[in-house]
Amino acid sequence: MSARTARILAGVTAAAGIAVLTGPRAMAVVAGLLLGFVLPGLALTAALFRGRVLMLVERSVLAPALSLAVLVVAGLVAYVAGLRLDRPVWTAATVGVTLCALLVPGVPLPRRQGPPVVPLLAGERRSTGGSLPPLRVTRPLPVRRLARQLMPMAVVVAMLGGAAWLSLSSARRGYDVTVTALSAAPPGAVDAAGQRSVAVRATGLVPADGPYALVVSAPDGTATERRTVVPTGSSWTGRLTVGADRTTVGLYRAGDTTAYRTVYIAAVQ
Amino acid sequence: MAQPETADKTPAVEVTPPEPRAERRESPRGGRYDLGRGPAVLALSSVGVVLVAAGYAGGRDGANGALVAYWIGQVVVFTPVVVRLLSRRLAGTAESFLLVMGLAVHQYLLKWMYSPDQFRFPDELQHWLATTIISDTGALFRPNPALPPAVHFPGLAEMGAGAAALTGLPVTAAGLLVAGVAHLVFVGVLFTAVLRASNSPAVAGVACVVYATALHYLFFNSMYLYQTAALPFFLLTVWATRRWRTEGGWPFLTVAALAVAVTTVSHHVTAFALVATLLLLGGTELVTGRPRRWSALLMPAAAAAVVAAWIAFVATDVIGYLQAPIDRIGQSLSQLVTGGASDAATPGIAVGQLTLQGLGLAGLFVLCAAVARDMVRRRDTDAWRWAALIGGGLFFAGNGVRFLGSNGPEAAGRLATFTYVPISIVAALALVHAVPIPLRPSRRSWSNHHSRIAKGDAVGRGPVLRVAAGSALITLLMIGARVGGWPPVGSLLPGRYLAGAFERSVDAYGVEAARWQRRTLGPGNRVGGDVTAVSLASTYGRQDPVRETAPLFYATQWGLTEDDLVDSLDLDYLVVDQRLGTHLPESDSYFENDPQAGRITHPLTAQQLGKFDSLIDVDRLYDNGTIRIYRMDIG
Repeated sequence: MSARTARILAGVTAAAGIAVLTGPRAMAVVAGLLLGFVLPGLALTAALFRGRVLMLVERSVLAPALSLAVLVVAGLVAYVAGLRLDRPVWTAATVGVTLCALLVPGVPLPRRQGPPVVPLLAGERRSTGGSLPPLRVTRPLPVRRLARQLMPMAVVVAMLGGAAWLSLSSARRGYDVTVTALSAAPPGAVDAAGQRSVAVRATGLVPADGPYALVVSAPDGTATERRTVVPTGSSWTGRLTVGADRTTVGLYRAGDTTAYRTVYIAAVQ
Repeated sequence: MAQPETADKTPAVEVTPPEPRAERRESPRGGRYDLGRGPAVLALSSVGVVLVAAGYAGGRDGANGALVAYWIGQVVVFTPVVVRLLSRRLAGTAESFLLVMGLAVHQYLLKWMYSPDQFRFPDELQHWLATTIISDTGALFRPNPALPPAVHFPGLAEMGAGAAALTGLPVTAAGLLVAGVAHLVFVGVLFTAVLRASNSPAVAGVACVVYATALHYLFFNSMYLYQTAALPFFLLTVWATRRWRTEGGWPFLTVAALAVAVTTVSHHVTAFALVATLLLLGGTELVTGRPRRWSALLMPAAAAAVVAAWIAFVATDVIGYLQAPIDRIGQSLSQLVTGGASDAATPGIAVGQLTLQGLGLAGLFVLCAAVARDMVRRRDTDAWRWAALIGGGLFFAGNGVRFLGSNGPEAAGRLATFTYVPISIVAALALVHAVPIPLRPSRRSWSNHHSRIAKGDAVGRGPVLRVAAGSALITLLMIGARVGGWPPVGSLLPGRYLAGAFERSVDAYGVEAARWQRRTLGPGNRVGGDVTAVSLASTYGRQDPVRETAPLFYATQWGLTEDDLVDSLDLDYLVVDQRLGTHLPESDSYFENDPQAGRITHPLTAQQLGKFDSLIDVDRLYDNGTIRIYRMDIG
């Protein structure tokens, strides 16, 4: 990595760090993705493999892989150091690792001996790399031809976007049902009068099914209390006072003759 | 897999090898960045993604023809890429890599589109909770009642929590991103490792698409599970070790050490598999190498030491966690040998499914045998090729595990995640290099050429036959994997609620009930129920799951036995899903530790489900018409 590229990368890293901590939501998402999946690995790859040639394929794989590794190691180090793993710590860790790794190319390389030459076996030949070309590109990048070849990728993006939209919308539509529930919190202790207080809540109330009614019944089925439920939004919360016997609380829709939802409060043991 | 390599070192290298005779794939017409027809092939493949999306949407709406769209889509996504990779017109590394990564993106989308709005698979929910706990508390190693062993393997959760904190996205979105990136990195490292070893972009590409037919590839290996986080580092270790062994140098050693560490803190089984893989690679190098290089065992020894230290000092509970399934498989094996009766039935496998998978396996076996025969005849001394062959043999042996009791299929699938790597490489070598297939003495090969594995040539007189047969075989393997993999055949498409069907059992009723538990009851109560109820209670509900409550449901009357079980389990709440009375389980069981697993012929009766209402000393605190929650501990 050239010094100029390193400086640019350092600038992008610092900007990403600031965007994550103080930027608007959309910018924080982009910056966070860069810090989480790209920049630390890119810098570490450059630092570790300076003076060595890696294929573009290898570099493109190492960048996200080492970035993920940075998250794991940084988390463990922060834990050992007693730091709380929150946004500032994650940001500091990823920005710090990236900037430190970008400093390494400035350090001169130690003299390195040539690679060990492993003896070849009969019938074998030493690979020249063939499809593994050197990193330094002597020919200019064929931008026009690449652009022409990449044109079908627009179709790919459109297709994938359409498929994603179709799936997401159909999944949300399928999941989006109104769940009408009647619930009670565990009843409190019996007071001096032999009564218990119970918080009751009805949720997912549909205006078209109303007005709802709440009926409290004794063990023999006799209704001891009847309330009209006036929901706030789609839910209603109330508190009932029940005796020591087993009590049934039923939620009725308009016109129901049997309870739509029922909870039981057991008798006091 | 020509060895060793020296091409990618910038310093002066004393070896100046002759320029090899270039094959078309190695000298792209348009230079090294020639993408060939890759983008166009991916455009065609993306049509398949739309078809599968339409199939999924149709499944949710109960539309006719949804399954047809799904299957056509699966083939359209996959087969064009395979055909192109096997074609002699493949431009080179850039096109091969683009095709492989494009296919990986498309296939990850197939997984994501099944449940795009939320995690539904129980294990994904468990890891969602682990990540949420880190995000909420800012600390690692906090208890996770949903999956206690995951506490000591925080790799994935750290990645997810880090991504969520950095981006500000919800944990679910961050988790989907992390799983996707990890999955793509895994495929990318596989491509890179095979490319370095074989020096052929076609072999690397074909190995990746063959691996994409592994049973667990499409779902389990790309879900938000701790194995998904560990797998790329498993392969990264292999890649770095190979480059360290062939070229030396501390950078590769550093990457290998880092990858071993991340694998170890991410997933136990993958860590064990890594040690075994490194041992196999080191062992074959030691045996085939002359003079012997004992340093080949350095990396496996170091990896074993790291994994052992983590388990001995941190993840001390993992041995107990893995002991139970290992014991069950051992028991089944013992009963198989001694002829004793097994109490854990092997799940029934449909004949059609067995036939499909059997044909695919037979094809792989033929390719494997052809490569083995060729290597023996040539007295091959390439250690890594022998390691791939031995690993391929382990794959075939591992397939037998699927018939060992109720845990067999899962264990076989998990094993195949690792053993399918070498068999994919061997198959790719055979398909790309047109290794002679010993079908009959007179017609023993697809080409009359001698094997060219070592020379890296991809030639043959029957290129059309080779491409057609190879594509057909790999497509067959893919179809077999979809039929025998995940989701099960009965729930290939998302849709309305099914009992005991994991993702298909999660709907708004269950999730709302679980959220009520957390909101009203607070965390940490001991809650039992069917598989889905327990999964949701332990994750969305933050409750302590009780997985042994099946007898409470199967009892037709409540008696002292049930009272004793409630006491012994220290059960606080029981979640009862009324739909267990109308649906048979898709997965052969309603409950974890289900005593009736594999023998359920009718849904639970109204008496079995309704008996809880007659218990005068039990509260029914929640009712949403489908889910009812009973408080069992009021005494």
